[in-house]
Amino acid sequence: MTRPTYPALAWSFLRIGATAFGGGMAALPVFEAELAARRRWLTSAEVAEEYAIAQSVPGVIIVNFAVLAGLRLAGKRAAVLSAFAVALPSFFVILALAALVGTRWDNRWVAGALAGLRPAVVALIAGAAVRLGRRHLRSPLLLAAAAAGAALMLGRVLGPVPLILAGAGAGLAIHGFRRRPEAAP
Amino acid sequence: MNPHALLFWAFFKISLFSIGGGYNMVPLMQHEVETRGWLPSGRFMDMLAISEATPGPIAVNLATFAGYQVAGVSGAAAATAGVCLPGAALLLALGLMASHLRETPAFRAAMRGLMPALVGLLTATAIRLGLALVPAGVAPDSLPPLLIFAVVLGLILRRKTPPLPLLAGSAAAGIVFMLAGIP
Repeated sequence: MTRPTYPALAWSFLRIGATAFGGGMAALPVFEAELAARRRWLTSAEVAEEYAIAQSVPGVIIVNFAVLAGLRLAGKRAAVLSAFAVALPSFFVILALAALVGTRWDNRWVAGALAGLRPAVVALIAGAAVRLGRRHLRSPLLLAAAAAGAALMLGRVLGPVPLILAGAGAGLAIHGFRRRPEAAP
Repeated sequence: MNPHALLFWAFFKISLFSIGGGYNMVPLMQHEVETRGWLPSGRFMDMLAISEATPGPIAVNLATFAGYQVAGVSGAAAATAGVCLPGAALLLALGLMASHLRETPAFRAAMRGLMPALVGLLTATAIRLGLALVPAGVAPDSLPPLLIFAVVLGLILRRKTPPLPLLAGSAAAGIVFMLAGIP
């Protein structure tokens, strides 16, 4: 495998940033098509591995992935370059749209389209909650914990950050000291 | 604090405390945007819709949009830098050790506890934004948004329809309702 040049790497991540519809959760096929199929810099398995890591640290999945892939392919400078390249199309597309729409919120076509989009956005968030819940909350206790979290947030007792810290802390307290049998050498 | 430092800090914090990308940032972002009085919740939903319908990381789209609305192009740059930095800096610092982090028992334990919190946050955000959709309560005016909500949620859960056609269809439905004179 040859080490990619900086311009080639930047061009690839610009392409990814400009074509990844649906955000990080839907970006794996886009990464694979560009980095594995088109460029052959990484195998599909390597792309999937970096993607899994990008999802399990804080931050923006696609930007995290660009850092990891850049790091793996050509070092730290390449990582920073890739991160910039992948965020750049978004930045300019949104600036253009914001300048265009931001002065026309009251235009009847814009207002009509947005009135249709708002309920869809709420449905997408509700759908994400249901899907995440189906996959990870498989016991009544966990469901009750999620409901309690929602109630605390809705009642403005806890903000999101304390709630997230409380969840991670509870996880550590309950499972942190239990050794997994398959982890033994 | 000047608005740029505030934007940078707010989006840095949002990003630092969210794992799993765009959707999981929405509750934190809504909280931050609302408590600081940056945008009314209807406008927040509009930004969310546009951010999801355009290519690229949803979090970057949202940060750019919110930053621009609050403080123009430089505000967009400050918010975007803030949202990208935590993950990028952490991964640069960890380097190749990042792949081992995921395998540690402590990390897995924290993630297991995080899941109910995340589901709770997303649910609360959906409820809060959903209530803002129907300011009239139980009234004929609430029917069009409820109809769109139900159809989109049904398609996501039953058919696994991707977001882009759902958003395009909903925008079209909104325009049809507008032309038909239905509020």
